[in-house]
Order: sequence, then C-alpha cells, then structure tokens
Amino acid sequence: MDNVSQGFDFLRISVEGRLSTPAVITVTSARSDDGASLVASGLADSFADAGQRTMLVSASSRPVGVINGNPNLAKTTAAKLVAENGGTPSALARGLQHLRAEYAVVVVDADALPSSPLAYELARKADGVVVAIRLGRKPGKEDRTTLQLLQNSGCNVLGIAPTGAANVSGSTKRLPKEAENDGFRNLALEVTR
Amino acid sequence: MSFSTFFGTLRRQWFVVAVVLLIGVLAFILTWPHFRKFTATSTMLASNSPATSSGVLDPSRDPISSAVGLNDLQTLATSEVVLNRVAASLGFSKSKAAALANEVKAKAVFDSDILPIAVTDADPQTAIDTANGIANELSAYSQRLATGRYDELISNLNGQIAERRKDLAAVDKRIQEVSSGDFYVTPDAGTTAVNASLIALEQREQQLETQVEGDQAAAAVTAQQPNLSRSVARQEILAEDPSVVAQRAQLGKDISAMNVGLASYSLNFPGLRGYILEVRREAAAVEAAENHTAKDPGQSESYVAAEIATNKAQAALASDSAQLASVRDQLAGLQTHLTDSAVEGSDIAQLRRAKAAGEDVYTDLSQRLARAKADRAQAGAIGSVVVIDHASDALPALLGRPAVLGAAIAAIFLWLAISLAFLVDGADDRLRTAEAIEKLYGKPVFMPVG
Repeated sequence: MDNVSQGFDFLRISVEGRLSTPAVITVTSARSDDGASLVASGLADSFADAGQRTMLVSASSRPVGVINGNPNLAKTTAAKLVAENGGTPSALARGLQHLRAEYAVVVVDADALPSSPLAYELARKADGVVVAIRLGRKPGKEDRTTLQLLQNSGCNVLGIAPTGAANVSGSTKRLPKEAENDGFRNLALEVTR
Repeated sequence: MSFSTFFGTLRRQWFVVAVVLLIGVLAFILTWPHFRKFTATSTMLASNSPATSSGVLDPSRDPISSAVGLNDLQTLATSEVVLNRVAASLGFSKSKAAALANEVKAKAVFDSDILPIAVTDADPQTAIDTANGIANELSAYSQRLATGRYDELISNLNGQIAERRKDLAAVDKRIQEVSSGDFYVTPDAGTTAVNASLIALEQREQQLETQVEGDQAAAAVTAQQPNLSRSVARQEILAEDPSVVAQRAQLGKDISAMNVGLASYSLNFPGLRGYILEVRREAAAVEAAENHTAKDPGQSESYVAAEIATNKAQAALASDSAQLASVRDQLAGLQTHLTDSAVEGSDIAQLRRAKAAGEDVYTDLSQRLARAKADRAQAGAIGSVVVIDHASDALPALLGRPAVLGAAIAAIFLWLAISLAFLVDGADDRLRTAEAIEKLYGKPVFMPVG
C-alpha cells in the first residue's frame, strides 16, 4: 500500500467519522486545479476498497481519475444522472435520491464552486462537502468565497482536503507506523462503521 | 515548534540548506590556509605604574618606576612604533608589516604585572621570532622612554648652560674691555687700586708737608747763622792776621798813652790834641785795616760752617718741597682719574653684579645637570620592563586545527542554513501544510492526499 492510498484511506476514515451511510459527499474546490477530481476518485476508491458500495458521480468538466476495477465502485456523470431522471430541474435531486438508496456512499466530483452553479447545487444537496485545496499555491480570495458560500447555504463542510502533497517539498507526511498496520486499519474501519 | 515542523521546513527549503552548506564547504577550503596558523607567546613583567599619571615625563619622578604603564604596554605592543622596528629587524615585507598588528595580542593576566605577548603566524618560526622581537623591542622602548625623559632634560640643561656660559663670556669680555689699559681698574680689583694709591699718596703728602715745615724752620734758623757768626768770623780773621794784631797792639798802646795824657793833662797840653787826632787817625787806620782784612768772612771757618749749614737746610727744604709738589701732582692726577672714571666704575659694578648672578645660575644649572645625569644613569641601569620568558615554540592556533575549524565553520553555516531556510520559508506565503490551511480558513483539514 502506497502513501497515496493511505492518504485517501485516512481521508475516508475521517469522513466516515463525520457522516453515517448512506451519504452523498460532494467534493468541490475553489479553483479548477485544486484536485477535487483526484480527491473524489481517491475517496470513492477508498470507500469501495473498504467494502462499501460506492458511486462516483462526475459533475466536473475534468476527466475522472483512474479507477481500478473495484466491484464495489461504480461511476456515472451528472449529465447522465439528470437525463435518466427526466431532465427536469429537479432531476438531479431525484437522481441523487436514487443513488443514495442504492449505494452506501455517493461521491460527487464537482467543479470549482465559485464558477459553477451546478457545483453549488450539488453541494447544497449533499450530506457533506469536502473542499479540495492544492498545496503549494498561494491562498486566494476564491478560497474564502467558496467557504463563505458553503457556510451561507447551510452546507455541512466536512473539511478541507489538501492535495498535491507529493509535489510540495516536505509537505507529505509519513503515515504513522500504526496506520501501516493492517490490523489497526481494519479496526479503524470497523469503528467507523 | 515540533520536530516535524522543524524538519518539514528544512525539507521544503532543502535547496537553500544545500546551497548554504556548500558555501560552507567552499569557505572551509578557501579559509583553511588562512587559519592554519601557529601562536608563540613571550611573557613580560612590568613594574606597574599608573598609566594615567601626568608625571610620566616628570624628571623629578622616581627613576626606578616604569616610564610606561602596563596598560600602555598592551597598546604599545600593537603600535606602529614598536611593530615597524620589529618588522624591519625581521625583514618583513611592507604588506606583512602592515598586517602584523592584527596578529599580535597583548593582554595582561588578570590584574598582575605579567603581560603575555602572543603572535600568530602561518610559519611557527616567524611567530616565535616576532613574539621575541616585540618583547625585546618593548623592553628597549620602555628603557629608551625612561632615559629619554632625562635626555630631553639634560639636553635642555646643556643648552641653558651653554647660554649662560656665553653670557658670562660676554660679561667677562666687557669687563676686560672696560679695564684694559687702565692700571687702576683691574678685572678683579677695580678702582680699589686708585683708592689705595690715593691713601698712600695722601699719607706721603702729609709726611712731606711736615718734613717741609721742619725744613723751613731749620732753613730759617740756619739762614741766620752766617750773620750771627760774622762778628765771630771777623774776630777770627783779625786774630789770625799779624798785621792787624800789630796795629791793634800799637793802637792800644797809643790809646793807653792818650788816655794817660788826657788823664794827666788838659787839652791844652801841647801836643795833646794833636796826639788825640793822631790816635784817632790811627784808630781809623786800624779800623780800615781791620775792615779790609775782615772784608771776606769766608776766611773764617765758623762762617763757612754756618754757610754750609744754611745751604744744606735750604737744599733739604727745596728737595722736600719738590717731593711734596710731586706728590700733590700725583694726588691731583688720581683725583682727576677717579672723577673721569666714575661712569666706567659704575659700568664695571653692574657688569660684576651681572657676572655674579650669572655664575649663581650657572652653578645651579650645573647641579641640576649632574642630578639629571645621575637619575638617567639609574633609570637606564634598572630595567622596569623585562622579558621573563622568551617564546621557544609555537602551538597551532585553535582555529588552525582542521577539526576545530571545520566544526566551527560547520556550526556557523549550519546555523546560517537553518536560519536562512526558516527565513525563506517564513517569507513564502504559499499553502504548504495542512496546519497552514487550517490556521488560515478555520476549518478542519484532512491529511494531505495525492
């Protein structure tokens, strides 16, 4: 198990600590290059690896990250979801309802929030929101705007997921040795559940 | 700050750290030849003297005490006045001589009078030679200073004495000029001789006056003797002339006969009157003969003796009178000389006073010179700053050891690298850690991914 996978596992564990399944989790960001898609796919993959039926919904213009052939993980797009649910303005909400009923975890990969009404809508309809921020870039006004929008709309912001740790010198933390222990990992998963 | 934050920062700024440490390595390579030095130490002992004393050049100061205080020696050890001499004696180049001050350390051991002089040089023998050279030069310089203050005083006194000698010579010359050709004004007696002569002459004058008075009295007395002896001389002459004696005898007889006739006869006695006339004529003839015979009184011994005595008295009077006149002339001459030389006498008195005063000053200066020379000899003989231990070997300087220098440079540049890393990191406002993000936005932050 590499550090990247372990990072997503910890992210998943943290999210599981804040939400109960079934749950819709929207991953968004302040900028388009903050790595929201990476977080969404990695988080979905981790949930799937943990044995949870997981749906990854791509509502982003960015390509979805590589997903391995995990049987617990399915993927779709927001456009497809809307289309399958009648194509009306409420189709997205109905689609998400269906997915929540069918999957333990629905991870939505949304665009950058300040520039995407869809992302904003998906965040409002989600049980929790994870905001991705790329390490190594300077903080900007859009960061505060994003957080402000989420807070004002009553979204449940689970937390901020820093990305690009591997590209930032010295920012990648080694996982605790205990976390590398499978027994601890499984125990954590059970506790989370 | 946690270790993770600390090392995280260093890892983020690894390039800065690497560059600084690389510079440190280069610094070690470049500075090693400069730090490869040896230190030699000579030790001096100075009889302590307050450096702030204003009497350093006071000639009345105790010559045993050092002319240079210990604190001054510390400064002097690195001064040009000492180092230039040492550099010249050791044949240093100009650049090395100029840099010598930086290689010398002189610091007293606590409050003692011991002054170690440490010299650092790349060559151990040069360090030893320089340390010993400085110590020796300091000692010599101190001694020169100790005797120099007296040299200055002695030179000054010699100058003053020469001036005084010149002044005295000028006064002597002036006195010589004033007294030259004047018998009575001698350089050492002045007008005293005139006065002595005057007194002697006056005494002589008085003697002569008395003598002349006596001579005059004697002459007056003797002058009467010829006249007084003239009758005696007449009688002597007449008595010695037989013709006169015969005539006188005849006349006597005739007179006796006449007297008898007169006694016996009256004048009417015939022939008596004629006889009387005859006797009278005979008496006249005798008188004439007597006058004729006694006409020259020189025929009398008594008269001649009286004349001789008179002449002698006159001669004595004339001689003494002449002497008196001569003495009076001399007195008048001296009086005139005294009167004429009154101004010169005054000048000479002034000159003599000036000479006496000059001689007093000269004597005082000579005594002071003698004392100064004695003090100088004493100060020169007693070494107040001495070298008690010459440098015999040179030890590698602390930073001359590669391990020490390397450790020092490593420590410095490591500290520099860490400081610079944190400085650069602090100046970088990019989002680099989860903590920074959490601090900035106040939201929980998950572990970084991706």
